[in-house]
Amino acid sequence: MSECCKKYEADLIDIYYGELEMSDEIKTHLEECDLCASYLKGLEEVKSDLSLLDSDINIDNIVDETLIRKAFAAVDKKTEKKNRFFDLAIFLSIAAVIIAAALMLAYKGYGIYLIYFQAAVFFLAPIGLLGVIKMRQFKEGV
Amino acid sequence: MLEAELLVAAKSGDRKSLETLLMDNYKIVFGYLLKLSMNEDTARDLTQETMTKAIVNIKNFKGESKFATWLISIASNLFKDALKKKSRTLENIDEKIDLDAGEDVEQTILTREKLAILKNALSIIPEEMRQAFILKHYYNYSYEEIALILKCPVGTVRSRIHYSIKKLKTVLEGGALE
Ligand SMILES: [Zn+2]
Repeated sequence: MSECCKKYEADLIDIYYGELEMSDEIKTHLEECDLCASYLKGLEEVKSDLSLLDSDINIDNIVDETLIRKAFAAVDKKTEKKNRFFDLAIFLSIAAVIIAAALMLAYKGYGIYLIYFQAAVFFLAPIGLLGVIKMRQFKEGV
Repeated sequence: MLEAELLVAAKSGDRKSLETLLMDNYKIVFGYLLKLSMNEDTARDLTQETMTKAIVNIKNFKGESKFATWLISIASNLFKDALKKKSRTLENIDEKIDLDAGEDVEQTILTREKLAILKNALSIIPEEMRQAFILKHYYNYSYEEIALILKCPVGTVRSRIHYSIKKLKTVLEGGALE
């Protein structure tokens, strides 16, 4: 291929791929130059060879539609894990605040009141729970 | 339902619509990754990863391109990452997929030979060039679209495609496989 034709080579590829319009100049050159005309013809032949890959890869035979379900399941699992981590973070934050407050109160000399409070909760909670159970039984008509 | 309607529903959290969209575009993504990797298992893994990424990021899809193009873009990035992680070898898929033999055995043998040459030729083209080439040749994306998908300049896309087609042309016309 001559130097003159070489400059058309790139244009012919662009034309072949629909990225460039066939200009009058190239058209005239193709009519006069067998080499360039056969280059373009060669590209067309390559196209039919390349289509072999499409016929070889018969996607319908190897298609696995469960992949989409698996993808959704993977995302759900990730989201659940994220949520669980988020819940744990909230729990730890609240626990940290309570412990810090308790320590602060103890440090300030209110430790004894904290013990009273804890004892009260310790004894009152079961009594309160009994009340809740009774109320529920009453509601359910037992 | 139209793609645009499905997209609106999918973005507002409708799982069924998103599933339909993914199902409609599944074969395009799988076929693309299969041509790119020449390996069924790699293509399957990356397709699932692509779908997972799409499910997670559907709200970020702005609709500037077709949904299939967006998926192809995700798949291209994942393929690039996979290559970086480990250089997956290109395997010949001849063993796994049966070519329709048809009636003419001689023709089938010739086709098989040509196919083997084609796969070898494709496999020696560097991945980033092959990506651009496959998007152009098999999916008819414009140079601009490919540049957006592969995140590189249009000039680079053009030269990658030119390199690939010239190489393939030479090899398929009986030239040397360097
Ligand atoms: Zn010429």
